[in-house]
Amino acid sequence: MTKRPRAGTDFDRLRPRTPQTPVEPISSGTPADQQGKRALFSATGDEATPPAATGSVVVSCGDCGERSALTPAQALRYAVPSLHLPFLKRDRWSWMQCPACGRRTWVDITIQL
Amino acid sequence: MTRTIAVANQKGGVAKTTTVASLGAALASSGQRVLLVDLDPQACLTFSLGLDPDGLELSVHDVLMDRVGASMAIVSTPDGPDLMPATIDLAGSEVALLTRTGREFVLKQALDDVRRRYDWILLDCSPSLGVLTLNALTAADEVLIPLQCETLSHRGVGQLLDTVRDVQRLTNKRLRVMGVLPTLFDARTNHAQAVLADVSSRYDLRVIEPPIAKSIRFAEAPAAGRSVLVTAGTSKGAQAYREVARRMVAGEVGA
Repeated sequence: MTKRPRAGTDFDRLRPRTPQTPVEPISSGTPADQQGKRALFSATGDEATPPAATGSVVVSCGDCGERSALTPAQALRYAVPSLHLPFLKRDRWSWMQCPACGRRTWVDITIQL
Repeated sequence: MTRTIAVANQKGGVAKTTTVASLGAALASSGQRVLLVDLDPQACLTFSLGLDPDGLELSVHDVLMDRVGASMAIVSTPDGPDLMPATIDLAGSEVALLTRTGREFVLKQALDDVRRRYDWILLDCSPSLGVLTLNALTAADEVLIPLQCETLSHRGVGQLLDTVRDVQRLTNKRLRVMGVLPTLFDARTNHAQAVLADVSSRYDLRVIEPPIAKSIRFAEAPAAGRSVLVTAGTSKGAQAYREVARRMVAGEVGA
């Protein structure tokens, strides 16, 4: 006679996934199936940044660390008002609203050529 | 500052859409400016809020295909929140995006145009871990996980957290897990209690209270094209969503 599985409230069959589980690196050479779940991502590195199209304005925020690629019109909206001190500050010499976190802070601005 | 929340769980039928519609209405009724985005090709959120998905000229599909700006596709709803609706064409977006470089960022960039108009943007994800859900997780500050307290849903949380970690590393390092919201909750069963306790301890996740009790009122509301806050405003479910919304506004959960 087959033994009937017990309907219990433990969850032993669930794979352990703890927050401490290391994330499998995508470009480590270890066998992450590029046609599996990874195929959903076009990003392949640790940069977490959107690709910037030619002519776009990339704003790097000193507060949140996020890089935001904007069209010139979008950049203008976030840059009003703004302050630019290229001769007084070495890094992040523009003060404006960060599109990512919304704070007014010092940022780097580059134009994608 | 706008808070963008992806309501996600790739398990179907766990009350993602109900949560977005109800929380959106509750937030709007407390004076918050709210945008809801329907990212499910089944367009259940769109239908639930009184629109006919088959009769829409513009939808989130057109936004993701870069045919129109986000503001062009947004409509207002009688319950208060604005809505970027979906149609079945959204299924095509998923296919079209799949070969595009930077496909994870399309929604984020589209929402940048309208983000400043709102206090809250709630993203109703489809029940899958596809490109649309990745777009939502990339555009969001936080992810809220509705959890039906049973084993298969428990398993889904683990899979979703794997994806969240991938997103944090690859496309959105700011993404945080707001917590799990127990839905379709039946406090009388030991199983529901056990699932909730195990999910919370196993993944170190915050359980957002109060739990949303199972109720037929939620199933009835979409027929009227209104949220449960309007169709059964004094029901326990409506009151629970109001309380969750109040705690969100007060900063007691998330952020």
